[in-house]
Amino acid sequence: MRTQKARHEHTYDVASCSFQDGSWREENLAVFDTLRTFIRKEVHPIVADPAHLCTSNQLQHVLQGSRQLGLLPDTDADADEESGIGLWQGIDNREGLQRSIEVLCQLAQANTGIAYAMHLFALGSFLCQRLSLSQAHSTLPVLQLGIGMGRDALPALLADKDLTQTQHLLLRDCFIPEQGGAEFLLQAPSEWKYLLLPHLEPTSSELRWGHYERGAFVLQNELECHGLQEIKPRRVSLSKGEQGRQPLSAPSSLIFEAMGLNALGLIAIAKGSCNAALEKAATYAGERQQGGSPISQHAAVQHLLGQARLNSTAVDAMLRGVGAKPQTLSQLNSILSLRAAAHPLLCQAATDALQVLGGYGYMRDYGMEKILRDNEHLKNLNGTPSELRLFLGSQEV
Amino acid sequence: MTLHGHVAATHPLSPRRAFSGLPPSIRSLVDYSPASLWEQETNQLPAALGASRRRFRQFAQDFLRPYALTTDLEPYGPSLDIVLTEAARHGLLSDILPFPFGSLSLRQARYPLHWAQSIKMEELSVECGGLALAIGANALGIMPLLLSGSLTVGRKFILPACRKNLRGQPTLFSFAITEPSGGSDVEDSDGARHYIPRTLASRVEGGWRLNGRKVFISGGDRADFITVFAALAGEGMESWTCFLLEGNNPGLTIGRNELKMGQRASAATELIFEDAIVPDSHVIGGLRRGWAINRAVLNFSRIPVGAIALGIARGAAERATEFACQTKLGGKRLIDYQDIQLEVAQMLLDTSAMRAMVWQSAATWTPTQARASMTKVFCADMAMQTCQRAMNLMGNQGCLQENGAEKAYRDARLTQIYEGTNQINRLSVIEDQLEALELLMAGRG
Repeated sequence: MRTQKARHEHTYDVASCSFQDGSWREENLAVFDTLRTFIRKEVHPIVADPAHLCTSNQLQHVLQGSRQLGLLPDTDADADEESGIGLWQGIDNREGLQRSIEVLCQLAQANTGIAYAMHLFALGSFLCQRLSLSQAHSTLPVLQLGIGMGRDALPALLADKDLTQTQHLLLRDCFIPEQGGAEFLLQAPSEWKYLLLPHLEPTSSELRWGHYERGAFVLQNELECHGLQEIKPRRVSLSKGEQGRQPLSAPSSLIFEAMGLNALGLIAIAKGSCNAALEKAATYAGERQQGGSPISQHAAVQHLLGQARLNSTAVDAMLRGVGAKPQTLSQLNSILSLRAAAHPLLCQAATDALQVLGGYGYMRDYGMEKILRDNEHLKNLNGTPSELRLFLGSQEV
Repeated sequence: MTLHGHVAATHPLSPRRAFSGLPPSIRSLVDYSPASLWEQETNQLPAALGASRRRFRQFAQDFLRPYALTTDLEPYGPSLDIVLTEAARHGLLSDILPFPFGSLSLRQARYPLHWAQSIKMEELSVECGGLALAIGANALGIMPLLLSGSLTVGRKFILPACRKNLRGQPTLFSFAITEPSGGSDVEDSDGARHYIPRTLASRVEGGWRLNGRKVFISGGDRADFITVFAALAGEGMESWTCFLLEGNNPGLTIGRNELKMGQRASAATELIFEDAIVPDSHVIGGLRRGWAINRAVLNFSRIPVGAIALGIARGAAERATEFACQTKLGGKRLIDYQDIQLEVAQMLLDTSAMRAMVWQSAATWTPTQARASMTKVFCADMAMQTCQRAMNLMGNQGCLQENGAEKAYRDARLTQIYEGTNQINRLSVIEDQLEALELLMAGRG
């Protein structure tokens, strides 16, 4: 396997791995070492200047490199093979799941947008494998469930409860209709060829999945957005002529896996970018002088750095507690709870880290403002904290 | 059209109907007003300020709203020229002097200048924090001249600028204190004690030669006049002196405009002084008076900065509320959901609290350092919460620039940094209360 070959080319540095409790096995450490080399050679050169966004060609180049490395599948055959380094591959056990989380963290530490693109392709590939679909390597999942995230209707649906008329209406707005027409926001790297999305069967209110070629969609112009600007969103709608397509049969647990892994990925990316923010802030604090001494000696700055570290460590602990990929509603709830708690903490950490740099933190050159924007953006993707609270709270009684 | 979860205004149980049955004497104590909060609060202002609030809102809607999103994406295009020309023509760049010298009405002049400025900055910032700053930075640049107390300075520099502005020819001032190695140090007494100033003035015949660099200067790229603070060569921060530099001074080079997270319509510019000669007549307030003038300016400017934060937050809240009223979900408008109503209410509550603080601080003729700093810190922090809330309410749509809330978030973030970081401003509160604290320390409180 490519990973095995790569691990002999580089030495690994345990100290720079964020999972420092010593429980990683050697092959995982080698995976991280390979990853760091990839990041250093392929990612850092194109993201070194925060004033310039990584272009779509550069992103494509990195994605290609990640396929050669085995992070993402290059072909359908690759998608079936567990490379060891593959994102969202081999995640049936805790170690495999934690490895993917760590890989995303490290990628995001270099660049949030690139990590997000890889997460999307890897998740698309994982879901295609579960559905025995071809084109796994070029399929992206669309899990953006519209404003409100189905409110109390989605948990009721997922719990197989009888739905009220209002809940039917909410679900109608929550999922992209099979008959096409409705617009949704798609923030995805431009090279996707297929989209995989859940639909709600209108009469039985069952979830089923559709796998569509790019040509089935009407794509509007790119839009300006808050964060993850390497990948601009577009308004997209499924062409009406696509109706009548045979739906895919899928295990009922697939939606839990899709939503859960997506949530874990988003937290991991936010966490990784916060690591970068903390590192930048600490470096700056050690160098910048104010009142005749480095600002790191001022309690005001120590407080900011301490709070950022505290928040980041709390999220790290939450993430490390995830033992298995979610396959039930209860497991999904745990991960969504974690997400609702983690993102605000990470946004606070990012803004505290930015504050350490004062005016310089606000300027694009230092990369801090991008991390903050990316974190705020991630927080509101696929379920805002309020939407997640509704999802969880509606199940409490 | 009634909101879900509430009785109609015509229902017997509604406050409006219930109160209408009370005797007139009681209704003067408890009444219901169908007016919006904005109307109610405007009506509470002294009439002259209320009228200018209406005028500023109209101006912002007419001239800032159309350019807010475009100047955010292309900050240095022709849109800013249009906005500044209109601002000049409408008297928004000359409202630091009363009529007939400037555009401040004699009725408005009965109230503290920074109150009118705060009202202006809130209304402009609702539409665009960046364009508001591009307009408001002018008053900041003029403040050292006003606070010099010199009639000659006023007659020689402010008056002609006001006249040109009123003719629709933008004539702008900028305020330059921040140096590459000193941001907080030039806004904090203890920091300044240790700081070695890098922008220096050396004596030449009939004037001063300036050398050094200033950074992050709002509107510095298009200023006609810059109030530059420099130390006298061989002396420390105690010698800080304010010099008025003309924008076409051959010793002045306009450096880079920073790539900012937000408030992009107003440039944050690097200014480089290389043997820039300033005549003695352009020393503002006297030699070695710069530190006092700087701190005095901050006491006046931090309250309008609080108002900028408030305006940005209100803009985000208004956009989110409009979104909630226009967007349907599950067959109902978003605003019909109770949790959304709670969010909207919280945004109204928070912005109203911010406004109360701004107006209370601005209504004082001599705002203290503590009062100014507290206002700035409170509003900046609350504005961030409000902008986050607005983005959150819009779900994934909140991340789109076209919906305004994410821009408001980016714009608001600067208010926690400029005019002294919020950390420095908190320490300014303590500095201002030093003697009261010393009494407590001595057990005599």
